[in-house]
Amino acid sequence: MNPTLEVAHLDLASPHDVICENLSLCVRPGEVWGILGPNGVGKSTLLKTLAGLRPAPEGSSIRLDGQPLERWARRARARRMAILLQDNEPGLPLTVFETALLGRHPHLGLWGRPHHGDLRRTLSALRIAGLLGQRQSPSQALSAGESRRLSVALILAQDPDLYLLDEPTTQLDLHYQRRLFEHFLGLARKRGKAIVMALHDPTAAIRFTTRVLLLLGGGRTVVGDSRDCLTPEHLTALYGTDVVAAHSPRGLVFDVF
Amino acid sequence: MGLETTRQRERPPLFAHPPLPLLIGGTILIMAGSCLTGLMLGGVALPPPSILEALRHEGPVVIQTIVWKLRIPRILLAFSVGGLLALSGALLQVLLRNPLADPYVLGVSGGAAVAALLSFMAGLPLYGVMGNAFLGAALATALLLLLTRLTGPITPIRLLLTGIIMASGLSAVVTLLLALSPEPTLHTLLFWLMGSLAYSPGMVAAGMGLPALLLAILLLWPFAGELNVLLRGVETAQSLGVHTGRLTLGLYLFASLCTALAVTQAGMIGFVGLIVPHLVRMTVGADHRKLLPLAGLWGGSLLVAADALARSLLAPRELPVGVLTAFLGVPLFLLLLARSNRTGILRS
Repeated sequence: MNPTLEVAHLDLASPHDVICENLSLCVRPGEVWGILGPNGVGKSTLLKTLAGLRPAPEGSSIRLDGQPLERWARRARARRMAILLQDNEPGLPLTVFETALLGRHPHLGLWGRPHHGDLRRTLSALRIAGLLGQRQSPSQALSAGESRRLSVALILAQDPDLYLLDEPTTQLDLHYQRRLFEHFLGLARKRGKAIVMALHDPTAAIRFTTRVLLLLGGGRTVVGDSRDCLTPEHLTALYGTDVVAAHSPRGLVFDVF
Repeated sequence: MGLETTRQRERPPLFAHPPLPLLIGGTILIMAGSCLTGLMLGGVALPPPSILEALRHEGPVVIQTIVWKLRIPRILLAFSVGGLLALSGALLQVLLRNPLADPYVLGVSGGAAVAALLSFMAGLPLYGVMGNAFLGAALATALLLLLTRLTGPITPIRLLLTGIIMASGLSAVVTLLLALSPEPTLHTLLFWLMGSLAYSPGMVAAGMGLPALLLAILLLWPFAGELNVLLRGVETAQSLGVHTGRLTLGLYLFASLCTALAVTQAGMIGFVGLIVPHLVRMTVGADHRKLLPLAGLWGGSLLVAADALARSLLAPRELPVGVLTAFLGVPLFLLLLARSNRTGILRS
């Protein structure tokens, strides 16, 4: 199958450290990728670069559906690829429904009038995020976890082929962590969507991802299958703290405490 | 939470708050009410029957003259100025993603006023004054962006703070120019600056103001969807396919133009640009497809009504309407602030 996202020879640096050197990877439809690494190693910067929100450095190539990122028309690109950012400006309040409807923006015509299908998709995204009952509330009235779910609903309404998710489950309770992870896994398996998410929980990573990219700092990276790469040794090296693996009835779990 | 799945077939809300016919009807009522007030109140109070008579070119000539030559041009002028200020305020509030932004607070009006004042003193004709006022407003906006950039990253809150400082600086320049201006013109300039429609050099342009306002609303409307997206911040907007650089630059220029048109006609009128977009948001929400046209029309109506009061409260003396909008605006804003605790409108 043709890759959805193809990265070749990517060198990225933050002001104080090298994030990756000569990174190449290939995200195919139906794959779920996890990006793991310590705080400040550059996961968000990498995701924003993949999303085209930051310019890719000279000599590197990032292709979406075989076409270089910068050659895509903006709206067409937004129909193929969505990014869930880590923080959103509070701004001025739209209602919860209106906010989720913004995800349909790249699909709307010139006058921006949503059709029935757009409204239906938005409602279904809100249902998945568990916000259907609050759709008339101002978005500012939501709690931190609910706001996070609203951001997820927005990109679900956007309905792209590639989801870039920056820590999608921070601030969510256990129920919603599982519900959203399972939803994204289902999108990959049943509808062939490609998903790349930055994560902090190695247990979630081994349960819900097929491939991982480990950012070790200093530009060192590991790319491979989740089962091969997510080992106590790798994770201990990754976080600089002792990680042990144990078997639970549901599979492997990683324990640090 | 799991219970919600049973209600998924419910129809989506098309209008967050009032239904569209009510909204249009209400807006027409507001506009008609303010225009009637504008026709009735003034140095001479006119009862509605004699206004109707005069509108049909019947009855005493004096009253016909008052209605046709004085009050109608004045209403048109006030309407366009109020509408342009409210529109400009609505734009700046999205651009800065801050509910406190408005052309007066940010020094955009100040830039237009300084340029217009200099042009008056140089004896330029009206269109020269207007052109320079636009340049002044655009320069003030550019300076605002530049100063914010030079002192750190461009964030909405830093833009607001820089704007407030610039507004005070520009108001000092205005005071300086007034102190240097010759005695005979001082009174006129002072009243114009305080925000008054009586000394408007733009009286002749009154016929132009209203089409300008309507054109501004029509030109902005196709961008309403992108403005909504911009409410989520620049990066989200970009990821949703909006060309944010081009859009924000265009909108800053557009807001400067609206402000300049308003300032050359009526001086520094504050609070309209601040209050009206809030009133609209509280009624219909922040969706710009509704917010932009309503802000323009309600802003116009508010200034027509305020101007009617300014003309009649101490008749035959006329108050600067800017004083009145401030008297109305301050308590109204405090009221909104108090209500916002419940509605979350101003919470951040």
